[in-house]
Amino acid sequence: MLEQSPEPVPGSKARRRPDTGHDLVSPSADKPHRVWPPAILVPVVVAMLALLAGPLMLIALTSVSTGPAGELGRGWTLAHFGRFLGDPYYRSVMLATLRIGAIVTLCSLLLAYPFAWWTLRQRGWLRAALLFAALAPLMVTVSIRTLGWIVLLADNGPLNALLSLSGIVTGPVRMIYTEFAVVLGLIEALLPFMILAVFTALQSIPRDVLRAAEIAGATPRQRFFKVILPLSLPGVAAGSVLVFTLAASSFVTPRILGGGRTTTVANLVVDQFLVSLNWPFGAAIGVLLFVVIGAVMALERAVSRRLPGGTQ
Amino acid sequence: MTRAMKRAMTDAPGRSHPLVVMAAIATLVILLAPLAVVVAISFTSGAMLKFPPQGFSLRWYLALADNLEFGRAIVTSLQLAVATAIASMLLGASAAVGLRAHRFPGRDALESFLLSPLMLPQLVLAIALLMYFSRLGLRASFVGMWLGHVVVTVPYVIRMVLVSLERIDPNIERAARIAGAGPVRVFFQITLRLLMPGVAAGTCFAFIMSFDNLVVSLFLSGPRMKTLPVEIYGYLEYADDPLLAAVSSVVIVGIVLLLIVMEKTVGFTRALVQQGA
Repeated sequence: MLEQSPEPVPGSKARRRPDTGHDLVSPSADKPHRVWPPAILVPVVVAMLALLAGPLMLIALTSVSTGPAGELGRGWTLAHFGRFLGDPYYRSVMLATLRIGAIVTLCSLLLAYPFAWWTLRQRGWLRAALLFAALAPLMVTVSIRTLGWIVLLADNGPLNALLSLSGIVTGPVRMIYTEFAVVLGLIEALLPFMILAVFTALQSIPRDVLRAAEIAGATPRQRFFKVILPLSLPGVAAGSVLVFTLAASSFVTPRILGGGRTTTVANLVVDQFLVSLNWPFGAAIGVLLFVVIGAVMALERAVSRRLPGGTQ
Repeated sequence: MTRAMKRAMTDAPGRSHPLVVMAAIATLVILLAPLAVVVAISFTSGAMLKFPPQGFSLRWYLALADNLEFGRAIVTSLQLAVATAIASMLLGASAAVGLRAHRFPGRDALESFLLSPLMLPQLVLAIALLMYFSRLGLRASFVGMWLGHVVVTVPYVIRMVLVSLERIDPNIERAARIAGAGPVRVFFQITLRLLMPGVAAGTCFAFIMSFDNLVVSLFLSGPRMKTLPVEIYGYLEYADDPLLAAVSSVVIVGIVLLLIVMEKTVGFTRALVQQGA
């Protein structure tokens, strides 16, 4: 068949469909799923409007309503937000949450980056097995993983036994029900997300770029710091924001592994909803948490656009 | 081409810095130790939730078989996960096809909206649904939990099917058209078949994510309607019982087996890596 495309694109895999003159294949045949009318979207849109937009609207309205049980329409107020922001205790909980989120994000990155890099350099079954081992824990419920940490970090647990065997400490070290336990549990819970983000970013770096650096005489160290690291930054940023978001909004790990001593914003929300039953205040804290997380995400987007490998 | 050049071209694995290897091993230990410990303890013959286990026995598995609470929770969780997976598959696949089939004003905004639960803290969604369902009388009901889980899992299915749609080679569909198949036939016999791995992976993920879910379930469950993660969570605060390790081990083994099957068929890790976290 003759190539009759008016402007042939050299080397392009997706060549234009040659105009054969007779309309055997109509333009819409390029995408056969076009046989579906847009109405196919109706069920999912209705479902998400009813189950996502509706509830989110309700929580926003409840957070500014006056009735204690969250009755709407009795008057509006910003007092719930004022109560949170004006109270030094609540402010300190917010700061502690952000601190835990930052520590967890940083530690996850320091562990995930070498792991992703190392895994990518392996071949065949070993690479597949490493990736599987790193991602499979993501699929086990956080209740079960928390149970594992309770045992590992116990006063008479294996980690304390190792520490005293090595002679670093004499008596058992209190690890469970501390912020250390919370941070460790969150790192474990969120590491797979970071590994996935970094691995994807590293994998998408074209081999040719590395080879070009090699031919240009770059040492392995230069290749890493001048080529690989900068090009992987968008993945690092995306993974970091995801991990931070999940860490800052987690409540199961802080509640169980922190033993009630490490309070996070998410735990304040849970208490307002399940214990104090002050729904408007709980809703306001939830909205604040959402706003803080949204701000971090927006910041990441703004920064990522300026990165060398970033989109846009 | 010499052999040395060939080796250089294929980017031979080469040696990594010892610090890199140590960090990688530490990562694996942190990820796998909690699960390994739980499985090990489940075989203890003692009555303590303590590692290393004392002796070997199957007594906690036998106790589990007699435990009605966990049994009921497992059944609830499985029913919920199957119902969620089916609904997410139908809604997610139709959404992805609809989003790519036509250009219409606001399409990008609609796509962002449908994928937005991925960005939303589950806790915020959970309390919002709790308030919403309280008004509708769906609190502490199977249907309420099901609807909540669907909101969480649908975006994952949409994203996986979108990735599959983008990877279809249009030449295959074109060839079928040229060979004389009508558009409907091409969709069902070619496109849908090419989409199946993505749809299957998305459906499996929806199943697992529903089975695993604690946050949404915790707020929407009730004393008579508990999923397994909620039941285990309830035990974590009080009980010091190897029974917990036994039920957890059953779940761990079940999930790992499912993931291995997925890896061999639709590619569990590939599906995750393709869509990039």
